[in-house]
This record gives sequence, structure tokens and C-alpha cells, in this order.
Amino acid sequence: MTESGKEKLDLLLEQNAERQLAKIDWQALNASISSRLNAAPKPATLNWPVLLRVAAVIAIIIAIAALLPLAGRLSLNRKFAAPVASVKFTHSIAQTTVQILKTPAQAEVSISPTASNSSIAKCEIEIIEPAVKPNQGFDIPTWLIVCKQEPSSAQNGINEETASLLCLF
Amino acid sequence: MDEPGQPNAAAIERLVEASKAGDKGAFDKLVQLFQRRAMQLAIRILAGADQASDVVQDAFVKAYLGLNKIRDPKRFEQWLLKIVANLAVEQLRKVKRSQMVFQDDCPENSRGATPVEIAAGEELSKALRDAMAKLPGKQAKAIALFGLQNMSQNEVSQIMNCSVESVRWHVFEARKKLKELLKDYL
Repeated sequence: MTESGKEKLDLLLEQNAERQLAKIDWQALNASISSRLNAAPKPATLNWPVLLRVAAVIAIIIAIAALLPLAGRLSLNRKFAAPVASVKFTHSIAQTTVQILKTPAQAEVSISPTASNSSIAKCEIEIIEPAVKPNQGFDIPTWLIVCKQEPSSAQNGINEETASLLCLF
Repeated sequence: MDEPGQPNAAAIERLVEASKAGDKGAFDKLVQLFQRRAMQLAIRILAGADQASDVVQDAFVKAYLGLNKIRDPKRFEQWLLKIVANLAVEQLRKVKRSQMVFQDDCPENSRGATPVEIAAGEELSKALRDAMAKLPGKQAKAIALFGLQNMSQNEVSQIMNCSVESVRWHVFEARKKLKELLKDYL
């Protein structure tokens, strides 16, 4: 398109626009718009109270969904990881009693190599949770591993192997 | 009516926020500030004051009801012009449909008259509107926005949601088609 053609077209569009604009009664237009606005409802606003309520309900549902598995785990822990029991087993050299003094997971145990020479050694234990869920109220065996031994225990005639305990209860 | 002085962006933002809160007086102020600009655009697309007036009224009502959709209140003018352009192009489509239905009723162009004489008459307005109706919507918007005073190419591209290059292309194509369609008046 030539420049003159472009200019002529622009001039034509401009002339028409100016001519049409000159015909407009701005006050009447303004009044007409105002009248229509007065008849119009308020601009749609977001209903914050309702939105907040919905958000709160959603947050509560999410929190419950997140806490349910944890609550299940805690109840299992109470049942299986905190046994109130003494574990006793017989070794070829000496009788050793393992008593869980503190639970869960990491706990202190007392080891009595013999009934007469009751020496207490502090060990760390690890309780291995059963992978299966309890069935009909029956307890599932839990493994207890004594994984650390303090020197005092070894000095009392028990070698490390003896003091490394593996219990099933 | 003289065009009121353009307020700064902060003032526009305040008016928009007040309007959002239901202050119709604030929105009336926005109407006064931008009605001329809106009419200029609508006339450039529809080529007639009456049709443009209807579109501008609809646009302001639509803008008022949709104020909460505006992302940047400072850019109210661009947002409004986008509404105006969309409604005007929609109106053009109706013109196009009516052309197809009532083609026989359209008066003949007064060939032989000089461009100045034609420009003085309503006939030019109709010829322009018919020609604009034959353009794709984007081309009609582009050439109309491009012709507005103080409207940068960047602003046009933002209103049209396309690149500056696309705007230039639409304007070029629109001019080419309009020149062909309006050759009797040029």
C-alpha cells in the first residue's frame, strides 16, 4: 500500500471519527450510563466470610487426613512398642535377664549376667515394629535387639556376643 | 464537552477500589474520565455515533459489574478499552449478519461525489461500518486502537493480548483491505 493511500485512508477514518464525535451529547451519554449503573446491582464481590469458612473446613479435613495415619501409628506404638514385661532367656554361660526400663525405641535395659552377680549395664535397644497389623486382639511378636553394650558389662565375664541380645516377645 | 484532565495512576486506582466497594459516585467519575476515550474507540470500529454510544454504555455497565476481575486497577483504561473493543467487534458481527440478510435494502453508494462531500454525509459512516464489518475482529480492533491518540503500539499489543509485531501486521492487513473496500471514497 502506498503512503498516499495510507494517508488518505487514515484521513478518511479520522474525519469520520471527528464528525461522529461532534454529534455526541456527552451529558446525555453520561446520564444514560449513570442511570444504567443505578439500576445495576453492586459489583460482584467475593464473599470473604463464606470463603474463610470453606477454607477452614478444608484445612480441618486436610489436618485430620494427615493426622489419622499418625494416630494409628501412635496407637500401635502404645500396644506393641511399650511392652511392660521382663525378658528372660538362658545363655550357655550365664543367665541373663533383660528388663526394659524405659521405652520406646531407644531404651535402657539392665542386664543381669547371673543371679548372684547382678551387674547392670546400660545398652541401647531397638524395637522392631511388626509389619503386619494386629488381628483380632492378638499381640504380634516384636523383636528387641540390644545393639550396644557398655564395657562394664564385658568386664563382668560376659563377652560382647553374650551381651548382644536378640529377644522375641 | 471538554475531556477532563487525566488523573495519575494512583488516583485511578483509588477510584477503582472505591467503585469495587460499591461507591457509584467513584465509578461515575471514572465514566467521566474515560467516556470520551471509549467513544473514540467504539466510533473507530463501528463508524457511527449511535451504535458506538450503545456499545460504550454496555461497556461501562459490564466494567462496573466486573470490577473485581481487574488485575491492575491502575490500568483501568486499558481494561475498559478492551471491553469496548470486544463489544464493538461483537456489534460489527451483527452488522455483518444484517448485511447478509438485508443486502437488497442497502442504499447504493453515491458514486461521483468527492471524498470531502462523502465525509460530510452519513453515507460514509455506513460505508466505513460495512467495510469494518468485513475485517476479521483482530484487524478491526488493531486499526481502531492504532488510530487512537496517545496510544502506543505497546499498549495496543497489551489490550489485544498479542505481540507488537502482530499488531503491526493486523494494522497492515486492515489498511490493505479497507483501501480496497473503500477505494471509491479514497
